[in-house]
Amino acid sequence: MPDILVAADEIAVTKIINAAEAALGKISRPPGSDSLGPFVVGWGASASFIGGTVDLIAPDVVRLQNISMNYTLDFTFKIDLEEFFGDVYLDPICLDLGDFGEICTPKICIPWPPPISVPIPTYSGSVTFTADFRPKVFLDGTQWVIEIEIVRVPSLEFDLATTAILELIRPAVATKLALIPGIGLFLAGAVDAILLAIEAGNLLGLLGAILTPFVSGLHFEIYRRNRLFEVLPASSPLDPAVTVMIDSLTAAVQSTDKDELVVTADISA
Amino acid sequence: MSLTLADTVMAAVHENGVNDFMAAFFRARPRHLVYGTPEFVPVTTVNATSISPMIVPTPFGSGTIDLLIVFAPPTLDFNPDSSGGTSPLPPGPGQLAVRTTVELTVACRPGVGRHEAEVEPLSASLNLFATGAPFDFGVGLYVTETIFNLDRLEIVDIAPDHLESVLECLMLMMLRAALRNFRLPFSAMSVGFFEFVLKNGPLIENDQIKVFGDVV
Repeated sequence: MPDILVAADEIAVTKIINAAEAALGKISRPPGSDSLGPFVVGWGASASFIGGTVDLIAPDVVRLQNISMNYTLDFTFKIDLEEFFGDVYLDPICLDLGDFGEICTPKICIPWPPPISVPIPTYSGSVTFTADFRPKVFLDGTQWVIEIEIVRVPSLEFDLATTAILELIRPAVATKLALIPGIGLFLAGAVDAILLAIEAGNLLGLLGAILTPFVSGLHFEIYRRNRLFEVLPASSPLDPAVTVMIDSLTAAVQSTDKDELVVTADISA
Repeated sequence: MSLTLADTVMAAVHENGVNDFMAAFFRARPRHLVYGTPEFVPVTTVNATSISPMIVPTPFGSGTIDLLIVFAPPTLDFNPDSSGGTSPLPPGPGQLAVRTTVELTVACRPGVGRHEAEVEPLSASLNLFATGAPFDFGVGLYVTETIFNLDRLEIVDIAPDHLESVLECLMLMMLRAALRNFRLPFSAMSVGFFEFVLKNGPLIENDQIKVFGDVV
């Protein structure tokens, strides 16, 4: 029989994991860039996790149901108009002057500006998923740690986000293009062409590529204590701190008339 | 049957674990096992507690009767009895048994006159067997610690019976006081896995002490 045995049912484990989600806080990925259709998009992303209820399944599954990932995305599109639209010319306009021949305007080449950056307003969204985690117990230096670690990455649904982000892209691109001299006649068509080139499918894939890494490898730390565990703090010079050594630690799911997470420990003086 | 029963969390410490806690406690704070008058313990330190001597008249004014009381680190046994039937005072249902020895030393001054100041320490050791029960101890709003309270003590093979009764009561009070300093925080009982509000317990069964509650 272990020296110490601790059991927590699904209600308690839900509270413990919800607290671990809050303790994890907001996590960020290093800024990156990816292709989006013919464009290059720079992005920044952060995410946090909240809520969910626990379903414990023996011998070692902690299923977290309906956990929400709240995320924030920043995009900046880099658009090389010359590359995208190619050379655009205004054909000559000729006037027939009868016996005097005709007079034509010269063929005018529209000069595209250098590649432009189009910042998209920050988008915040949320996606809910259910995933299985496994308890993992290990020594991190001088500290015992218990984490629950995701077993399999669930499919994340970003359809609504895709639509919303496309709606943010449209006015942002239009505003930026409007600053280009001579674009007036072509503005609406140019914006449509750019959005068409982006394609919802491409954006959906990009969102998955940016946000899925927040979930793959996701783990919540539910326990961290010094191996030399302080039982009582020092209360005076005459009563110094009392410590014991936690020699071993285990965590598993046990199923009887209730499902419980059971942690055992062996200690020594 | 589930471990948490009608509550959401449960922490159980086996008697071996509590004995580890107790050994650690008295190793860090040995003064709670050693009590002496100034002849033996001039001042309280982390190693020993100084207690007041009995003042007595002498031909030269006043003197003291000095004692030294040293308990061995006690060991606990939660019900059911783990002594194999050798304990004279096994733990009943819900009880714990404590086993220790005490060494009593008297600074004997048998001489008279100018020899009255000469000390001859006399010592005797006694095996002590006691029983008791855990009770919770509140700090602030919450109950956060378990304390072990002794209610009976047995010393074997002392005659006459009246002397045995006197010594047993004396030792019960002294060991009870010594043991009251040992507190087992709930946070230790769960090795810090969670903080919780006590709903049931502490109770002793199956060689364990158990507490039940809800996560804070």
